[in-house]
Amino acid sequence: MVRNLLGAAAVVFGFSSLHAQNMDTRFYGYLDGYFESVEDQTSANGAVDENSSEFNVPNLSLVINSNINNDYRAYMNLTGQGAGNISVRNAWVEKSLAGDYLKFRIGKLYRPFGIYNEILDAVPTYIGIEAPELFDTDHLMLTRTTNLMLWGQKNLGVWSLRYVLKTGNDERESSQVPYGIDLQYNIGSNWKFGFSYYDTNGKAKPINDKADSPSEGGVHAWMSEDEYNVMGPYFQYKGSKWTVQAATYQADHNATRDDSGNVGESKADLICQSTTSANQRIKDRFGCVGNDAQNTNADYKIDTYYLRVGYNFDLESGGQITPYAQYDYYKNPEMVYDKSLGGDKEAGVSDDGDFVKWTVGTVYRPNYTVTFKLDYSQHMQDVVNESKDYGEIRFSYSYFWKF
Amino acid sequence: MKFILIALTVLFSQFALASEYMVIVSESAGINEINKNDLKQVYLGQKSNVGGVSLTPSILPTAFKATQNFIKEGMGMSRAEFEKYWMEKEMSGQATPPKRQTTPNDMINFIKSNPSFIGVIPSADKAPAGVKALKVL
Repeated sequence: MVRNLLGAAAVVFGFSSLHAQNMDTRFYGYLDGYFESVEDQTSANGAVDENSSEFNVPNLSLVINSNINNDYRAYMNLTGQGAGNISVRNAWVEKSLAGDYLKFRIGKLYRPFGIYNEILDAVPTYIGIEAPELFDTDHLMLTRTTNLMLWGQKNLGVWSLRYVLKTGNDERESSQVPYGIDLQYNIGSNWKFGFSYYDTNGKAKPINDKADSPSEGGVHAWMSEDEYNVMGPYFQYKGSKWTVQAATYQADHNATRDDSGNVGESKADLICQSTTSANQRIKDRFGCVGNDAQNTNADYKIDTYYLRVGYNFDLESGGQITPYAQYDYYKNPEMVYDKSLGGDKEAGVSDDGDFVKWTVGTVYRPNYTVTFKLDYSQHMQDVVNESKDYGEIRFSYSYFWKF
Repeated sequence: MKFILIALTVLFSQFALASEYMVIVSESAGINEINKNDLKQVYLGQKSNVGGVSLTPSILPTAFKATQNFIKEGMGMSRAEFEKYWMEKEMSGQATPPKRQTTPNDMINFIKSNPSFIGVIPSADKAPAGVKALKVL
């Protein structure tokens, strides 16, 4: 083990003279940014809520990917989000324990979970601008990163099976060992069929317990504790022309709302007091009596699914245009509206906690390093017994670079 | 007759493509042949060991005809598809892309001294000194 760790450290710092001739280190990254404008929408109490247009200033990302003889790998993804402070999105080291069959990865890593979680930073490569609802930062169903992973791949003929077992700090309350599994069956490079599972394996708590922004995982900011699992199958076909993706997930939560402190002061009480968040669904669930939330038991299920289809048109100039269409559904009966309380305006506004989103758009790649995307979404949900729609337009640009 | 002509055209066009690149490894590498599917999986980062021999892919720029033909015929992919595939893998850390070499001579010299690498160069009557051509089954 010590030897493995020393070897791994050598990869990170590049001090391995023994393997120097086979060390292969790449530096590359991307720059991206986007603009979005959301129509004014109806808030949970039926009043008009004005949404302003938003420019997201460029993110600059630097990736360092190092490999020694297929035995050790190290990967770092540093991002200056919003052209501000630099954050470490990923930093991990990997050691092969039995060729392709078993590898050990440790650090901060995106968890393999379906099609999108690992590739969301690879903006130029996928159709669409927004992440599927499962990984929408306003209502994440689980943490995007974890810390340790055992994985491998079995190849036979044209198919391969990738298997992943992972664990980490995630949202655990104390010494729990949350775990996740991802199985992916690939046929050639075109077809993917997979299944993902995650379990907190005991009590979990919100990562961000200030309740002033959306949770960074699956435990809502207004919970004192939660035990949950998430599971679902996914599918992808990606050929030279067509891309078709579909997935469905369900999360099963057994949670307790935070009702600590004096009446009117707990996180659950603050939601009962919120004029925008406390719609009839929330009042019923939280047992709001005045500004007191009397029901702390929160057992609920989240359902989501999506379908994404795109078609590539090759241009004579060597570029590509890819029109696409997406359909997203998300339902979370526990979600509140007010973002400052950890809520989300999409599911939070709805009478039942559900919404549907249609998106049409196009990707334009003048070459493989530059990508522009433009799309339009229509959100649909019932608010105070009326069907309400609002639109959203987005434009994104990205530039992939490498030394 | 028309069918025979079409069949012959397809057959010879395949032959012409296949003959425009050569898959090479170091002379000391313990491998002499590779099946097409293993070769594809090595170049997609899905496999790093073939018959007990560790193989890491290396590639020339796509401006080379040999690379273009290898991607089209050997990988069964378009150039854009191959580049997008690797961009996704690179940016997500899922795999390390084929090591780039600038010229065929660089590739030959690199493969000569790195027995765990596999490369693709323009075809020739025989393999250059220090490397051997793999028979692609």
